[in-house]
Parts: sequence; C-alpha cells; structure tokens
Amino acid sequence: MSAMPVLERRVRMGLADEDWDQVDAITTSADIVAFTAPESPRPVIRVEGDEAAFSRAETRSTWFRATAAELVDLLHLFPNWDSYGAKPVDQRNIGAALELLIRIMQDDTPAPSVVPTTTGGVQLEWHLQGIDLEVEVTSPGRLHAFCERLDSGVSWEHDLATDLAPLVDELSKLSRATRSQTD
Amino acid sequence: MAGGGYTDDPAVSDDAALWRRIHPKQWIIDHNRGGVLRPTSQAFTDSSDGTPMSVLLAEIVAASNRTPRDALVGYEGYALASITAGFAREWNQGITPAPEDHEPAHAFVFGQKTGAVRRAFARTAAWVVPPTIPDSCP
Repeated sequence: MSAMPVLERRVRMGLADEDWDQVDAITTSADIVAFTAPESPRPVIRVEGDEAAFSRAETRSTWFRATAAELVDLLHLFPNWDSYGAKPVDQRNIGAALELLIRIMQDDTPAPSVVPTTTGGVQLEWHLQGIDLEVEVTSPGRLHAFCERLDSGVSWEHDLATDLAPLVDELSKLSRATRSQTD
Repeated sequence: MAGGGYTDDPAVSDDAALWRRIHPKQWIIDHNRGGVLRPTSQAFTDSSDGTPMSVLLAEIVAASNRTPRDALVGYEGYALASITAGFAREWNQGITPAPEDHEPAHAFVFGQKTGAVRRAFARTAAWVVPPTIPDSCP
C-alpha cells in the first residue's frame, strides 16, 4: 500500500454540499473526520458530529455505500467493546481499509463483512463462491491476508505490502463467479 | 501442555464446553457453509493485554445454578459460542481454570492463536445463545 495519508482531521472539505450523499445519522465522538481515496485530493467520506456523508462519485459501486457505512460505524466502539479488553478501532485503520478496498474492488465485487479486531484494526472477509478470503488491516500499510479455495483446497497466507495483485486476482474470481451466477 | 506460565489442567475433560461471548460486530455470514451466521476468526484471540483467551467453563456455570443466558447478564446483545476443550487441545492449546471473584467459571485457553487456530475455532463453534438480530435490521 502507499504511504499516502488516508485520513485527515479537521480538514477543509473540497466538495460542495451537493456532491455528498447523506446517510443515516450515526453517533461518533469524532469532530470531523474525512477519509480520502487513493490518488484523490478529495475525501470520499466525511464524518461530522453525528452525520456521515459519502461523495456521490464513489456511490456508483454496489459495495461502497454499505461497506463505508460499516467502516464508519466502527468509530462507535469504545475501549473493551468485546468485554475482553479490546482496543477501540484506530481511525487510521478505517481509512486504510477504505483505501485498500477502493484499490482492489471492482464496482460489482461482493461487499465484504467488516469486522473490528481486538487490537484496533479492521478485518475484511468474504466467504462465498467457494472462496474464503480474510484480510486484516493491522495498521496503515500493514496487511495480512489468508485465502482458501474450497474446491481445490489450495490456500495461501502471507503479509502483503505494495503488491496487492493476489487480492485483486481472488476478488476478480469472486466477481466473475457472482456475475455468472446472476446472469 | 504448558506455555507462558500456564499448565493444561487434565481435570478439564476433553468433553468440557468452553463458552465465549461474541460481540455483534463479530458475527459474519458464511455463504460457503450454508449461509450460516457464525463468529469471525477475530473473536478467538488472546486479550490485547497479553493474557490468554478467556472462556467460561460451562460445567461450573451450571454448578452455580446459572443458565447460558445468565452468563450473558450485563452483556446485552452479545451471543455465546462454545467449543470443546478437546478441540482446543487438538489445536495445541491448553486450558486452565482461572476463577475470578465475580466469575468462578472463568478459565484461560492458552497457546499460540495462529490464523489457522482462530479460523478452526470460528468454523467449529456452536451457538449456545445464538445471535439475536434486532427488529430494526433489514
């Protein structure tokens, strides 16, 4: 992943109000949080007080809206949220997960399950079309992925840095399988 | 088995049920296994302070005349999942009772929680108190 910052606090928003799609009010302790997309100077999500909004340009993707809302929702989690001493999710990891998804997902890729980790990270999971894929965002720029194809039993697991090709490849297979099922 | 100063207690039989609270954010739908709602692998980790994974010994909960739902009093919205001690041992884990003042059934499952271990627990765990989906959810 790039080292480009993916989250800014108290940023001046670069989009006009009409460029944003409002979503259901959420509650968060954040004052203003903006998540930016790769190679884009503009934030794609902004969280202000109790409200979150997504830039309209990103909401074409079938997965983006629900997944981004789930990611932002992780800002609700308080220390010890799992009752076993879990840390709250680090906002930078939410931004890193979003950046990762924008890099590796196609418009019609099935949305992942979004899961907080007990150490403040985010895990993205797909369990469909015979593919089990889990990607843990431990910190910005630090990913660990596991994939297993249930038909062949073939699996791989390793840390990923800048080369996201294995993820793109698996998600492309997932998208194709889902597409052919619905055609 | 021993590790990190903990020793596996043979008094905890392989059939013993080990219960773990599962937060709603740790439930996922697994379409590869019949579309079931199951815990994520991230629900079976050691604590972030370095202590081993906490569980409740079901037989001690029962011995104190409590039901599984009683074990969730104070944890509204959580579900309760179960694995057996024998299954945990198959994955190179040890179990040691660690009673606390407010919870005599508390125990630790110690041993390295690799991704494979966590995924095995998540795929095998059975619901004792299944997740309840709020009416407001679509």
